[in-house]
Amino acid sequence: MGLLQTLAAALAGVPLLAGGPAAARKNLIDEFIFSKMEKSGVPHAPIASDEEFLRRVTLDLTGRLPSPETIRAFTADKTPGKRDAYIETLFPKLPTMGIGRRPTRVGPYLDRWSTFFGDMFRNNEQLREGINSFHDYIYKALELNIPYDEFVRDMITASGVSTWTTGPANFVARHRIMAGDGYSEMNHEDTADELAIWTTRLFLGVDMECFSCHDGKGHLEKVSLWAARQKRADVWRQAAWFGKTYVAPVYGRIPEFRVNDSEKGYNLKTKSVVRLPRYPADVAPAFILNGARYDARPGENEREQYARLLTAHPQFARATVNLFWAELMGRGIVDPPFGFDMDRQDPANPPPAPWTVQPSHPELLNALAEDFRKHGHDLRHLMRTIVQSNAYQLSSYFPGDWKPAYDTYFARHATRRMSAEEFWDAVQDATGIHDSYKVKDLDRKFKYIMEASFNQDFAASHPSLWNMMQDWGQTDREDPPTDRASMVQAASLMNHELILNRVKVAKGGRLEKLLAKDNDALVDELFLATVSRKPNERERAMSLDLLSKQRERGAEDLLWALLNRADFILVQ
Amino acid sequence: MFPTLTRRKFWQYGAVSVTGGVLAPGTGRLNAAATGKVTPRGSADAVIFLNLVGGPSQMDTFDFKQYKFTPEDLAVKAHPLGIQWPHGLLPKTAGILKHAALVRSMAAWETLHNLGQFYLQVGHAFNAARAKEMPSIGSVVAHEMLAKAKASDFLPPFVSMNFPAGAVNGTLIREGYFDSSTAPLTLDVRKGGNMPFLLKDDYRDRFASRLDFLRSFDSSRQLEGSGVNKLVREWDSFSKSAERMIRSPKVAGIFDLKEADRQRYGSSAFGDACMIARNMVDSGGGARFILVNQGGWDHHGDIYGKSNKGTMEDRRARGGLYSNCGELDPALASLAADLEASGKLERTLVCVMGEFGRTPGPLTDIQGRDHWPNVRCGLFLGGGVKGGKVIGATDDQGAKITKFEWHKNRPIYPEDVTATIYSALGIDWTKKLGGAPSGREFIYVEDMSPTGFIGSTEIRELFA
Repeated sequence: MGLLQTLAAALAGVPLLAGGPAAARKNLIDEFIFSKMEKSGVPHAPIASDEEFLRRVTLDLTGRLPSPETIRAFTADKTPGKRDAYIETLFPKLPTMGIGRRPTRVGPYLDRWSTFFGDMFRNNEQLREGINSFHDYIYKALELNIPYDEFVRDMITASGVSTWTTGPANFVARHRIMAGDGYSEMNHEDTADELAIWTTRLFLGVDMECFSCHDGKGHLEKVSLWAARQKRADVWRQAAWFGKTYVAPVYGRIPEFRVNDSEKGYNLKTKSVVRLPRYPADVAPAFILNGARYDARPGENEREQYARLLTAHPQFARATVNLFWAELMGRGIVDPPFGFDMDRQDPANPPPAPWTVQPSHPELLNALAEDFRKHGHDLRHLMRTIVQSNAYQLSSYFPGDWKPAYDTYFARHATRRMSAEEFWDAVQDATGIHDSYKVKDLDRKFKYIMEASFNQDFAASHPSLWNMMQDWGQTDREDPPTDRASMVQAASLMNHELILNRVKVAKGGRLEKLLAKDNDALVDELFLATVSRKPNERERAMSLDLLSKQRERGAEDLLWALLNRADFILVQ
Repeated sequence: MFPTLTRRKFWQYGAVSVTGGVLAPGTGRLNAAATGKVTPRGSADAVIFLNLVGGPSQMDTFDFKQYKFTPEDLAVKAHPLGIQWPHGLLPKTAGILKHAALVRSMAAWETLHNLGQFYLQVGHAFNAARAKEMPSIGSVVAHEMLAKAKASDFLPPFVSMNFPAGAVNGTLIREGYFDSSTAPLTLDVRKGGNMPFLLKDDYRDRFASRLDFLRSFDSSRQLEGSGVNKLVREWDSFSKSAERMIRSPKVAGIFDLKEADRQRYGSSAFGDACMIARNMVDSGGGARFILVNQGGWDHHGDIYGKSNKGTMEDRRARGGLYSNCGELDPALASLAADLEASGKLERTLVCVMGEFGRTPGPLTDIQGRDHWPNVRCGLFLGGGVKGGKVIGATDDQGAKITKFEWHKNRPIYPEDVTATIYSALGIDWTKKLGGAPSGREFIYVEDMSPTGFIGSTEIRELFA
């Protein structure tokens, strides 16, 4: 299956449903994705080859390259259903009864998604030592595969004497707004606003920030039908769910926080530090999506009720499945994932022209959300459903004329750049030369930078690497990291000391081991370790030629060239 | 042409002079509209902005105020400019003040670093709805200057060096919704920071042969057709630009810092960055806004260092103002002297300031000063600035501006500094652009401030 076959088919006059025969429909995702393409006459890419699939899904789920051994075994395996079986191996085993103390590192899947949530929740220096307790909490929640709704409720409602020891309380503390000198005084109402805005954004996919400074009317008519109808007071009523939430530094000047529910309520008279002054309004808590009020039931305070309302609302599941869809498919069904326009979701009630229904596949989104809820908000089930589908497994190579409109049909798999962490860990694995990094403030070492709690962990011990990682899009998490390409990145792959030193023959490295083998094995293995496939005839000839001139030097040059290939750094 | 532009983008920029509009990716025409109300002076070809991140204490540096507890070795004495100057902290800078305008009637709007830095780097208030799309001053300059780029340009128009890590400092603001060609080339000139553009002499031949091999070897970049994802082509384009820059003999000259020079600039990462800024200007390679950042000015505690024992050299190692000034002084003085000597100072505007000032009066209980927005000070030199002058004055504590000494007769705000920078580069600071994701117009410098209409404008007194 692949490019050549498809082109041959095209030349033979077979209609270019680009993959040759139409892709089989493996699950509900395929039903919706392929039937929409058929209805609209949109051709799709062929199914990805074994090598393409293996590299992509291993990076997507674990942030690591598949090893040459894994690639060899997988491509040689003729068992039907081997792709589904391989996917299962990427999830770490759940802990069992009587397991005793666990090793600290259980599986790269956990590091990859701990980093994802660390970026999403902005786990950074604003929390100081809370970074570690927060990261470890997230890691543990993933390890135990805690249902996502429980995980979210846990963080929203967490309290503690110190965020440095109570991991989940860091979620709330992270959103505090300081006043005055910026160290000791909290602005309670601004903090409540932030908590409302961020929980609504991250967990409901809805952005309230646009109307936090002014009403939607007169400003947002071209941006979002729903937001244009909202008022500033709607933000305050959402914030009022956090009206009793107390967040304050424990020692006055250090980012170590106490979180509890001892505040008096949302006070309109407090002067805002970050926004325009508030005006008189009803600020009894009201859930923005359905107006639900706090019912003061015993045993459930405002913050707890908010967490329950939020996770019970259908939009929670929709936003969550959409977020993970975007992460794995390169583009959300609603894109960008935190930009839902709630007035444009229902195909049975379409918005007035020229507006269109916002999700590219509204029935799929709802079905996927329903499936997610039915399976107890299980993230692994969600990811499994997505990556098992043939929609996910389409090649990113599309033979024929691509039209930009095809993007929303998911007619080929998206191409992305490796994240900064993926990139460096891939270089370490490809060259077989690893470093030892230390978690800041803890006596814990790690081997892959995806294992870090935060990139500051290796800033002091590995400043050169840290600088390069910032060029590759790591940030301080005030803003999310990016995978945008740049000239500096290209230059560093070509000429950075860290890369140049690793492509040299070194003791214990991959090149040293391979030079003991014959040239064909060496070439094969280097290709497998970098671009995750064997060389084609032309590539093999060029590589062997390079080795024949000067063996050791040629091997170094070959490894350098492989790391500088576009199909090394891009995930396709 | 600046290397990251593909042929398609070159056409877009080529179109600017014809239609007055520029296609920003995916957002339609920018509908640029200059109002024509102002006449930018165009007295500079480049700007070097020394960003003193954290907010330097005005009363211990450029706007000196004597207190009972002021350490003796600050060596404060009168300067020919008619001001008191801490010759112990800034001895070499005293010598180049004849080229500078010292402005003491500046103020800031913000008291928090991230908001203050945003204001400093963008010239606009931090606005949660718009912050992500707002381009920094450097990107606006890049956008304007790329339209007039020369074929011989080989440097990106916007370069930033050494922005300090850590959320507390604020962030380096980038291009917002503008094209990625206006993004800053971010370099970290620190011990351990490697300059990937510097090609070692003994590696040159091998590098050439590796590139030769790669060109025909990497079939993944050679795929043709609309079916190939544009990211592949983008990556190829960046690689080719990187290759050109690494192999350019001029670039080696920029990053190759001679030890004797380094010592003159203070043998520090900041000094190195100032040298690179000088080299970039000297090369005429197309760098137009060079942001050199120096962190560590946020002296809430131990503003005079951790101990008052030892020589000045010892104290420079012990933190506080001694460390910061110890780095700033030789670098700034050498930069000014070198630009003067090469004749480049006339067309290079150098600005030196932080995001706000510090609290006047007694020190805090941890021997420092906290944030103070009401008074801020800065230095301007080159690019048409008339040297040897002082604009504005503050009270004897450094708490309040007593004399504005410019035609607007109010504190000088970040908006005015921004307008001055644009004006010096020949950019109409009242220009409005469309195409932003929020749907709102982006005005280079707004007349409105957090407190109302201020009529932002260039500080023409600098040039008179």
